[in-house]
Amino acid sequence: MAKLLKCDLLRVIKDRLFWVVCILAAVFALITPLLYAAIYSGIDAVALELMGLGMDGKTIFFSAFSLSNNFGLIVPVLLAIILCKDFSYGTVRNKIICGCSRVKIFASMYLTCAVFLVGTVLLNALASLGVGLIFFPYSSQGFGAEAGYFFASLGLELLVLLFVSALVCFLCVWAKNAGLAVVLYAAAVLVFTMVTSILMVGELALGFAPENEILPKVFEFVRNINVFGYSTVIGTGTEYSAKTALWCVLSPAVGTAALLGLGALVFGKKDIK
Amino acid sequence: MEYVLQTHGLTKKYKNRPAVDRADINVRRGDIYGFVGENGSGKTTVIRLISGLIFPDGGDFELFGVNSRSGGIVRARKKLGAIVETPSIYRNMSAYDNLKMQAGLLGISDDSRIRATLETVGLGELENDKKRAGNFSLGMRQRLGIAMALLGEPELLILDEPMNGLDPAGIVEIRELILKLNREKGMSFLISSHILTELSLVATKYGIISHGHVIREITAEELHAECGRLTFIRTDSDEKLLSLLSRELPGVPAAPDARGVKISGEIDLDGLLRRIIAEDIHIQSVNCTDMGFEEYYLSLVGGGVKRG
Repeated sequence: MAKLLKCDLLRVIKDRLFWVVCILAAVFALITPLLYAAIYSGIDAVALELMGLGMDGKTIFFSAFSLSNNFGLIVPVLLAIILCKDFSYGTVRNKIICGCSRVKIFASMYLTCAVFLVGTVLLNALASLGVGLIFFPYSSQGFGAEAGYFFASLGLELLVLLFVSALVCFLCVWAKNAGLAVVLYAAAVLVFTMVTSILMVGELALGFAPENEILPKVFEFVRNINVFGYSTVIGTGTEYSAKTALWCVLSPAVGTAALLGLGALVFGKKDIK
Repeated sequence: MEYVLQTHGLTKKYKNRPAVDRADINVRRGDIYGFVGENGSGKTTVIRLISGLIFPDGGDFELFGVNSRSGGIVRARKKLGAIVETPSIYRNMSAYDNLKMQAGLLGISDDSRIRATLETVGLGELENDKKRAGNFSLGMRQRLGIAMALLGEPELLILDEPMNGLDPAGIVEIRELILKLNREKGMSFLISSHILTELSLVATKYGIISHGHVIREITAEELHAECGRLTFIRTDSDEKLLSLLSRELPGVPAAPDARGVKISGEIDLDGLLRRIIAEDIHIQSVNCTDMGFEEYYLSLVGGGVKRG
């Protein structure tokens, strides 16, 4: 397993596309805070703060983890393309022929994806925070007062990234084709993002129909299991309720386990050309 | 006799149509096994089954004595090297990096092994070349694929159409390499090829597959003996003659041909002609000629022998 993992990590590092990912991480880390600074320089900051639209380093940092825009959308797609090269080049055959079990090959693919996804997104988020702190404070209360919340949120974001890695790897072994895997991933992001928007509108509409008791529960459940919508939950406040924290841990953890199990099963029985 | 590979009724179906149907092949240690068959006959499917790339719908096989149904088969494949169809190489990496990756998978830390393997397949000049494998010629890619399969010094090397894309000098080099590895390291080979004359220069045993069925396994000596003669007998009734042949000479390949009924191998022609006359079949002509491996193969799979 260690040999496999070493090879997989090496092949990603040797792929030019990976360096494109790193360059994009740096570019987005620079551009995003600069754009916010440009936008917010022309607006009355006090008025925005009063409207609840204030900008700070914390928001910039956690928005880098959003899976439906900017870097968070691009990096899983590029990683899927890199990982699928094992199928398009036929090099996955070398691994099977030289006596590696399919479960280990899949596990190594997952760990590789997770390492690079977490690594590059974290790099992007930290660099964004670094640039953002030039223009904005970390938060109104300061980092010291929110350190616990910061690390809890970071932990939850990492769980989401582990879930995304599992989804990417599952799609790669199921499709065995970069194009199809990318299309399916993009479709999944689109659907879950739409679900997030529908829930927001739906919950707003429900405010006008307080007598309905079932729909709010359905909406709440869907929101709780919609890992792609967690960017609206994680890192946007100052503390988590026990229920929110539980859902934010449980949903990605269960999703990751299910996708990994399914991926290992699919890859274990799939014919390789 | 120790077998490195034995298949028992190996079957693989695609959309309910058998690509390989109850195939039995037996490769002894030290054999250079020529696996011969027309396009789509099932050669590559058998190789894929053995390599673990696809799963059988029936039958099983033993690799180095380990049954394919047992958990030990994955470990047994550590003694296997293979090129299946096209060489499996990282096109975005250099030849050296490709071998370095393979060495990593095999747990080989000695870089001199990589250099030696590159030299062995005639790619020694690429050791420090950063040219990406995707820009290699087909022949160079084939050599690199062979190098990757050889790196782990396997006990059984499976080569699927290894001469594809190689120039005449390359074909000679690979042939000599196969013979050298077989002679000096006792490496066994399973080589599929269309180029029968090329295969006949190295193979010690043959498996002939057609439409998914392994129709004959024969050693090089047996083949030599059987290839000796082709006899064409034209009579007034091919049907009666074929019926007589199946009774009198069971196991001797015989098939209708443009020049009459074609009988492959050495036969007692005098005795046969007497039996034909006794059966009241009228002989119109008898022709005898020597047969090559290609003609022998075609006589088995039912193809006609074309002559100018």
